[in-house]
This record gives sequence, structure tokens and C-alpha cells, in this order.
Amino acid sequence: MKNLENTTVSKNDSARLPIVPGTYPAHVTEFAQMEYNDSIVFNLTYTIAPEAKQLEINKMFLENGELVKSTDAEGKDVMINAGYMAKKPFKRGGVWLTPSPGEGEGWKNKKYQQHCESMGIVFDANEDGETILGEIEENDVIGRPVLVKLGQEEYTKDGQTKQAWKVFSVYPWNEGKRLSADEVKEDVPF
Amino acid sequence: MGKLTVKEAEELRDKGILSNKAVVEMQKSGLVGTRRRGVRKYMKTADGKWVCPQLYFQGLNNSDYSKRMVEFREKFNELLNEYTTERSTSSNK
Repeated sequence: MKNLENTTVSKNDSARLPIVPGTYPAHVTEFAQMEYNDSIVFNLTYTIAPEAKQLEINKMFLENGELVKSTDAEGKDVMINAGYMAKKPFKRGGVWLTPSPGEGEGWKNKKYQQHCESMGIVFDANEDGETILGEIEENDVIGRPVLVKLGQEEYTKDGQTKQAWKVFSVYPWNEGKRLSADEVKEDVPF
Repeated sequence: MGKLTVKEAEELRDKGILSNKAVVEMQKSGLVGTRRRGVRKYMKTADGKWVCPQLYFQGLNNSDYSKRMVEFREKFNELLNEYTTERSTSSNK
């Protein structure tokens, strides 16, 4: 075999750049709902927006299944453009809506309200200043711009600890542009 | 829902994802923290364990700091710098 002295691969050179935790601009691209007891559970998918290319993130690589920051010869973090994160879809845990909650159980819908408001949905209020919630439908949320905080969640399956990427929090992205349903379909990467 | 840190919000603003106005609004609505996380400072106990001094105003809840409290915090930080050291991990080794 001929040696290729100038063709090296270091442990920093992942085959593919791994997903990096952080806060990214995204759009709601999938909507699903199911009923559970007297509640409705909404499962939304968020796809990282092309505007991610405006961000710089740590370059990371996988070592024994763990994410490790890449550093330069002086030990400083190597930063790269986050554009490669665009078009990657992520899910969040279900958001629960309990219609007609019992007396003193209004708190059950607080997260639903916060989540909807983070997506830019405005609910009406009654004369007492209380928010009158509505049940979101697909066309209310698809294409809405949000900021998502991505992280890894550990879970155990068949006695083995595994990790999954998940949206932990959703924040308003008022500067983001809402995509039409057609634009969302065009953006699906497969 | 967890808050965005001041650093995260400022990075998003500096890269043009969020406007300054949006960051201020998110701070007002409690979605972004209002204080920066400082570097942890440590000192040693008599038996050699590392401990981290903390300043805490019990009962503050959502009240604002008074001028005296700010002055007190600044003096506390001066004492921290004088008596403590930075460490790269928080283990007790």
C-alpha cells in the first residue's frame, strides 16, 4: 500500500457533523393530536430554519458515544457555522390541553397557553382578564416560527441507556417569517 | 419551561435572529434570565474540601434590589475575589 502522508484523518473529523445542543430558529412542520382520557395531547415537530446559518456553534465530534468539543492547537474551542443544522426535524414532548378543567384545575392548561403564545397564537380574554383558550388545529400552527432549545434526553430501553435529541423548550421568534403550508412541504428533506 | 440565559439571548440578538426589542420583551415576560452566571469561586474547608460561598437574600421573591443591597453585593464580590479561587470542575477532589 502507498502511504498518503498528506491525507490524514484525526479523531476531530467525524464522518458527519453531529447535532449540537443549543437554541436554534425553527418552524413548526408537523402536527399530530390524540385524545387521552379527557385531555388532548398535541405532538408537534419543529424543523431548524435556514437562518441557523447566521449562528456559530462549537464544532463537536463523537467519542465513545459522547459529544466532545473540538479544540485548536492552543486549546481554544473551534467554532463553525450552524447552517448544517438547517432542515433537521426534532420533536418535543406532548403538550396537553384539558378542556373544561375542574374548579381549581386551570393550572393544567398553563403550559399549553405558554406554548401556544410562544408560537405567536393570541387568545381572547374575558371581562375578568382571564384567557379564553382555544383548541389549536393544524392550520393554526404549521409554518409558525419559533426558537427551540435542543438537548439530549437519556432513556433506558432493554436495560441499555440510550439518548435521543429532543426540543426541551420553545420560545417566541417574532422576527421569524411564517412559512405557508406549501413552503413547509417543499422543505421536507426526504 | 426553562429560561434562555442572558448569554444565549445576546448571541441570538448579535447574530440577527432576535431584535433588541424582542430580547427586552422576553426578559419582561420571564422567558430570558436577567442576570449573568458568574464564574464559580471556591475556597477550602479545614479538612481540604472545596466549597463555594453564596450570597442569598432570603425573602426577596420578586422584589427589586435596593441601593444598599447592590452595594452589599459589590462588597461581597470583592471579598470573593480576595478569598477564593476559580476551579475548572466542581468536584471535591
